[in-house]
Amino acid sequence: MNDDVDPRFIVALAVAETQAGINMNWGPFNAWDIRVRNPSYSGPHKQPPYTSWTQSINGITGLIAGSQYFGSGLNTTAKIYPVFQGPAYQTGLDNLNTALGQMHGNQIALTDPCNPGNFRAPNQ
Amino acid sequence: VRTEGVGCGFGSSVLAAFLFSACVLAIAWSQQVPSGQTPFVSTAGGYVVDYPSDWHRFPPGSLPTLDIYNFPFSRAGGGVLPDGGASIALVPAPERVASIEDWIKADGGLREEKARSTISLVRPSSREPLRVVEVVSLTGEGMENVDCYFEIPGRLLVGRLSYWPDDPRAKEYRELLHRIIQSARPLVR
Repeated sequence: MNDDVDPRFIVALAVAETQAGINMNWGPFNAWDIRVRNPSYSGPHKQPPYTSWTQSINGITGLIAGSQYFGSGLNTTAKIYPVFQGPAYQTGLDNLNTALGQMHGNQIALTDPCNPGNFRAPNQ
Repeated sequence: VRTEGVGCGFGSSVLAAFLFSACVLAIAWSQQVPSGQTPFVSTAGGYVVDYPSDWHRFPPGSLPTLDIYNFPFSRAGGGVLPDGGASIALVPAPERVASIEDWIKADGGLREEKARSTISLVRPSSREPLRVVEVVSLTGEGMENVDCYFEIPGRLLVGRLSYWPDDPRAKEYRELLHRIIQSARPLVR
């Protein structure tokens, strides 16, 4: 991945938001329900809808790895998801953690395990 | 004897934890905290800082470092800031980072840099100038970030501000970020 984010977390986040892309109601390739990419969004910061999976995956990994999440100390599922989702986050967080666990991901270590600098044992 | 030893150790630990907590609180409250400001003590970040009382931490009290928003938690969601939303965080350098320049380089791959400058702020507590390297960048989702890298004794820190680029209060947010940085002081253990 371009950014230092565990791809299993990106998948688990999509599971929590749209059942892994099955129920995408906020535009094409928007499996993470990014508000400003919703074609129906009418706010001043509207962004064009995603046009490919490559674009949307790069968008979500860049967002998580960037200043607003990892860069601000939000680096576990319990810290990220409430800010990402808002007040009704608990059910989604449970689903996210379950999906991540099924992929043997770690709720408190969300950097890319394939990055040699992260020194993680297999399956962690 | 063994049991007593364990008990004694436990008691000492509790006492030490109590004294440490009391010390931290005393440090926080002994500073001249301006009206309308709330002190924040980060043991994980090794700093004490003041932030405006009308900004929000959410979910309440869950982060070991400062992370505040100008909107209530009820408006959070959708992955990005709401319209008119802004956030400010103050975080310590990762372990592998030894200098401001290293840190800026490490962060460089994550953003589209628009501007970089070095500014000098004055810390009221010490009256000494504080060198701050300020990097302005854009995210892929359209938000603007201002990252201010600086050093207080024993600590490399960054203050990170995010907002939407055409926000009429952008200058106000930036001044607030600077004031928060000016209020940062090391946590003495």
